[in-house]
Amino acid sequence: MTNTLQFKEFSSFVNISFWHELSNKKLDELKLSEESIPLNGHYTFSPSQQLDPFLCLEFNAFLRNNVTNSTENQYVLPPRSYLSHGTLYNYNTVDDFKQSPKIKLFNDASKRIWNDINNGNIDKDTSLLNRFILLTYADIKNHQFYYMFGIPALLPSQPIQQFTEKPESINIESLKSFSNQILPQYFCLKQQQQESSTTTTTSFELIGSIEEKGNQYLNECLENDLIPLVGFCDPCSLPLNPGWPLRNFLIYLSIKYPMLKKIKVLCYRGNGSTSNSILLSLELPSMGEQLIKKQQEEDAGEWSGKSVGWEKDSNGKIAPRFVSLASTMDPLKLAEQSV
Amino acid sequence: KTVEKVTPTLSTSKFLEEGVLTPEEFVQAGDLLTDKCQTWTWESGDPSRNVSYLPKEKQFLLTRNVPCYNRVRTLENESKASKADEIQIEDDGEDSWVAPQPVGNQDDIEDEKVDISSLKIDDKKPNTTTTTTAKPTNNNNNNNDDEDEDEDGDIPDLDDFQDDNIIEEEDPAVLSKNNKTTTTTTANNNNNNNSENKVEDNDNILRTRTYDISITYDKYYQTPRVWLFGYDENRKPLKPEEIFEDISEDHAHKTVTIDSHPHLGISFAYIHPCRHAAVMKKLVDRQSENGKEPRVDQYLFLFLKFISVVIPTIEYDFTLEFDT
Repeated sequence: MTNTLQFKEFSSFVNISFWHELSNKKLDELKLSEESIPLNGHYTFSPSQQLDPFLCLEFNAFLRNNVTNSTENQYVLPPRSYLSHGTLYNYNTVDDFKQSPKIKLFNDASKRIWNDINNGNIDKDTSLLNRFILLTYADIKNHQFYYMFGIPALLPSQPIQQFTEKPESINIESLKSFSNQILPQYFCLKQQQQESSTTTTTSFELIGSIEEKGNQYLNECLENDLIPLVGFCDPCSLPLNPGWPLRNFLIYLSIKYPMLKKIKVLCYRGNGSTSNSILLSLELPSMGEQLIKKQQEEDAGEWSGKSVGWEKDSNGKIAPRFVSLASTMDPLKLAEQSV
Repeated sequence: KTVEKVTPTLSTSKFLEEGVLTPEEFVQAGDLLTDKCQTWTWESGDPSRNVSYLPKEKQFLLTRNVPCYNRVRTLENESKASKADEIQIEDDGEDSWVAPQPVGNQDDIEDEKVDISSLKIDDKKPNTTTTTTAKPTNNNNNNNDDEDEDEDGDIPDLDDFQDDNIIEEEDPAVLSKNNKTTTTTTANNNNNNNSENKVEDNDNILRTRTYDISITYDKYYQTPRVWLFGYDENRKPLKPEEIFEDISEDHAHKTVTIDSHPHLGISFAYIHPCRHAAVMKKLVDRQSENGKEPRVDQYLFLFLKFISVVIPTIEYDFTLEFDT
């Protein structure tokens, strides 16, 4: 029996400190420039069963990753967090913001992921699978901000299917050692199964990151006709659904290993107890030859495949969000409050 | 008395005598906290605001996205007795880390609260707090309790911004609470309507407030100082008066005030540290009386337990995950 695997979208979570930093930058550096700016976002394990998976931006989002000179501060991920590469498009007026070429920008980001998969960049750095774009209009006079997030996920030609042969459970004990180490974003695993008449219990042992061990491990599995087992750090905490970072990873695997048809995925959740981690058995679609071909033909142009991932408002519509920080930024209001 | 003594930085330990910390002890206690509770981390903050008496990468402590499901109002309506029971039970766990009866004895804590209210604060900005919360209704013309965003000026009509050009591909692989199309129009896969129904039901995510809580070292009071950064159900920053809804009534208007965070430069609510040392001293004494040797590196566990009386609905982590 199969059914379509559904992924839980990210919710954007912009820390107040980010807006402060953006305001400062706009005043001091950007001024009227509308050039795109690289950002660093991060996500971590959901601290609670009942929270959305968050994609977070903090005050340090503007810092760079590879700082060589000592005068500049380097971006440091919060512990147990994972990187998402962002691009900021900040507009000077509301109208510019409204009329920004949103579809093109979203497609550009999708295409970068696609290119990184195909040119081997992902092999060296899987974090490049996680990208987002952020469109903003910062009304710094009134401390008001308009913004839209797009977090692209490339679409396979057919939705990814889940299959179940026999109920499987996770040996939680075997995950205990995971919480004491820094786990890679995506990794491969060795499994040990204990069969009983009704269920299979699986224990896990970390082999290494996809960057280090992925190629060797997956090829070995394919040669020996085994179903490989991979894992990722999952910001989602729902009992049946994985979070967004799995999507592009599966696309990557199905492009890189076209012979790979079945795979098992551990959605590792590291919040306190690891007991709500889940194990998925998936059938990968062939990445649609037509898509690959189409892509090659139009290589010079924009991304012509399909991707989704605009952040929706509470009505499920794609619309900008708005935040006003007058109560914490406006000097007059602050003066009022701290008599 | 310690409060008035403005020493450059405290260099000898007065933990047992006065319930205060040296910067070194703050680091020590922070190390244990971040080690045992992985949700807490050391942060360096804005480098231009670094203080020299703390290590560069250990300027303050932070825990992110802490859920806060209820307002204090609802909690206080619940039977006080049952709450007291809960706390009692929690504290009686034999091999637990610390604090024989830090907050177990409700009477004592009531005493503390009265103390705090009657206390004159000899601070440069004495008792700023009461004014803070008396105000919001004045600012807010249209007294909307739940949708008082208007206070910050014109809320734009975001419908104006709808971009009709962005029409996203219908994607059966997206789980979202608004994904009403799953059962009807999913192309390509007609064999699995049942399972999809089930999946949709499982997006039982509760929209709740969250807090980022940070602890800085207060050089003046020689104690930790707790800062609250709140966000509403839609990840919008809470305004100060909304944060007061999550602070126990006995403390909200007396011990919580607004100031600029020393390492981030952003204004937010903090719990005034003027009584921290005295309370900590009491808790430490009680530990000694019960035959446990107070450990300075466990200071923050004890401290956070006491702070949870002030912010009872913010569910931050302050228990030892792995017993040592």
